[in-house]
Amino acid sequence: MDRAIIENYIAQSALGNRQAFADLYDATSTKLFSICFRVLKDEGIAEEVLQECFIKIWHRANQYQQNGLSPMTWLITIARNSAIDRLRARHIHQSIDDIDEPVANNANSPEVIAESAAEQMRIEKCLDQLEDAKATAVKGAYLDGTNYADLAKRFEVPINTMRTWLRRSLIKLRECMSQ
Amino acid sequence: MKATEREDNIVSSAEYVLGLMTPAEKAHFKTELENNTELQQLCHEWTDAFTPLTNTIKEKQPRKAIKKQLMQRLFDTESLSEITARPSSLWGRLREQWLNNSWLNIKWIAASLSTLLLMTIIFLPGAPNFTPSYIAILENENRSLRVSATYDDRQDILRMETRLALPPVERDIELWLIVPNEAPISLGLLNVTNTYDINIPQKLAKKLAGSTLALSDEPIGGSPTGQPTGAVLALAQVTLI
Repeated sequence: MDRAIIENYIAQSALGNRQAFADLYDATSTKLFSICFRVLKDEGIAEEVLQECFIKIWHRANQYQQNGLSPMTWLITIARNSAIDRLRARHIHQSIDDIDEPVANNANSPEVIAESAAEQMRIEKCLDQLEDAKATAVKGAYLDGTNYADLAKRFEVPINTMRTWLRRSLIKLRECMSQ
Repeated sequence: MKATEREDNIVSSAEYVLGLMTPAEKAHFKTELENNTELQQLCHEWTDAFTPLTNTIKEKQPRKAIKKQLMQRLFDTESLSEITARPSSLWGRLREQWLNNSWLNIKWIAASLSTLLLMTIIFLPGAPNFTPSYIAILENENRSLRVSATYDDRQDILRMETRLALPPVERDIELWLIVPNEAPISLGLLNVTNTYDINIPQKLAKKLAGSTLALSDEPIGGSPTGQPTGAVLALAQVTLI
């Protein structure tokens, strides 16, 4: 139901329906803005990137069906990647020490909670099977756009060690997720 | 397929999705990705796997004004300033900075004016053997305005080439040089019809590399205050070619 509503907004946007695009914005902008703000930590820049995201969404709406992702995953990926691109472009090296621990959030409207709680539990369960530091590193890379150099600094290991750590963790994660 | 090759693919697609690759690695991976369905599938699966982590992000609503600005940027084609306006927050922040140092404003305006007087503008055909070493491409969001600024640092010449779909109506576009931690310096009004050269005074030339060029929407004749007053239409950093 919810997935169908968002899909319909995207399909209508691809046909140039501005009202559907406005509805899509209303339904998803809080979720996408939260992601931009989480990565960029600056409200003004996050606002600019949010606008860029929706401009991309408007122009790429006709490509949505081809990519095979669920609508929220597609939108979230555009927001996260745009925010991380901006972060890298600004050469901000945010220490992940400064990052607040994520808090559980129950306030999103139902349609914007990414797909299923079951999937969230699966990734979290699999991350739990990694050592704490490694799970933190993977989450940092995804949620904060932390790169190898930042992670190496944070965990006080050489970059190559960090790469080896994380690569092994990703293989383990994949094994767990495939079960 | 060997187990190690499969593992390499698993790892590289995860690194790609997480954004852990260097620009060179990313470019290489993207080329492979185009024709490799296994990699495409893995990227898809990793994207699906990681996305639910965003459910843990604390919710934050964007300001209401953002939606209005977005809709204007996308759909309002009434005037150049509206279709090309970026959110004014950058100017807002810069302006705030200057206001905080208001006693300096007079000095800055004077400096901008004297800079303008020092600059001579030569219309093409211009200086011989123009060899650019720096470039900034200024483009607005909907690509109706594109300005290529190339800089020859041996001759201190900035060459401006403009492509504009819609000429501004009863407005001018002004070019600014923004050196970090300094007020914008006017480089004059943008000539939107001809390619032209700007002779940069040596004092400014040293600062050009790494600084930012910006275009603002201004009343006819340019900014009345010596500082940008209208929307930022485009901006770009001056980088080595």
